[in-house]
Amino acid sequence: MKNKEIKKELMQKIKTGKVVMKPKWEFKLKEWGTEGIGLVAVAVAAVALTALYYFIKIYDPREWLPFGQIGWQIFLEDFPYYWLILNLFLVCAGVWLWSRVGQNYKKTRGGLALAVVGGVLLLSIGLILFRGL
Amino acid sequence: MTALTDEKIVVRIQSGETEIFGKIIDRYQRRLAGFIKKIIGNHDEVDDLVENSLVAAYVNIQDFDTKKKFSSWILRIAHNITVDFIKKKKPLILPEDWDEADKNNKLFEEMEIEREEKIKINGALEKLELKYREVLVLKYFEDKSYEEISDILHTSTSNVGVIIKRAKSKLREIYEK
Repeated sequence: MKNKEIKKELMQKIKTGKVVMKPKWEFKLKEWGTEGIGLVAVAVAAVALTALYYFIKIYDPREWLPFGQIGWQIFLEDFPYYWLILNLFLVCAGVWLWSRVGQNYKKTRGGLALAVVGGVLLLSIGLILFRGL
Repeated sequence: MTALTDEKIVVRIQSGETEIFGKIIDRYQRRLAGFIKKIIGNHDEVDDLVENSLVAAYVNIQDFDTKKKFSSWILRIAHNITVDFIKKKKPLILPEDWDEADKNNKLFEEMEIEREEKIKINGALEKLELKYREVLVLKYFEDKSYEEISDILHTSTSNVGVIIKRAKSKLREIYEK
């Protein structure tokens, strides 16, 4: 009995416009948006990694390491954490976003993480070489 | 005369022939009800969840890629709606009289279980965690391939294999207790 009711009610709602299908562009926009934000996350993660490399190279907190405990304290205080944290956060966000794109759910998280980290590393190396850092 | 495939019907709906969505309802209403019933077991809520699944399928039909299998796509929608429902409510008791789909299903065959033992295995399934129960329902009651299950549950095919293996072993553990 309920079987026929569902069909009748739903078809009535469709005919009267109470239930409307979403337009195709809405899904495309969502897909492209996720891909775009994923790309931005990877690009900014590469910039953060490059900045991390740059600040370590310029201020080189490693120079303090031979000075024992005090040296370690200075090293830890001088280390540019924010770039490292930003990089790690964006890599995680990138993996999360890319796992939601297309058929990427079929890939393992490890494989996706490897692809994102690889992309970030390549971009970062490219930036370092291009900017001559 | 050959019957229209689900995918061909969906192409026509996507291009504006909304009235033939009734064919999709005819083809999937009972199937979705059977699937949802095996996951939640509550007869009172099943019809509402089927209706919600069919509405969601219609609303999101432009998102369906007609090169893929429609049955997997609509089962994914039903799965999501059922999981949301379970998260909001306490898991419910499975009925002892699962509908006719279980009469000759491969799960019972594989476990070499006689028909009189079905009640016991239903009880064991009821005690399984949702992620194990749904994968067994898809594999053995919906007769879905690993590839299709990976599309429905949005996980890798290798992970589907792992979950099925664990689910069978957990089911056997509970059953033999």
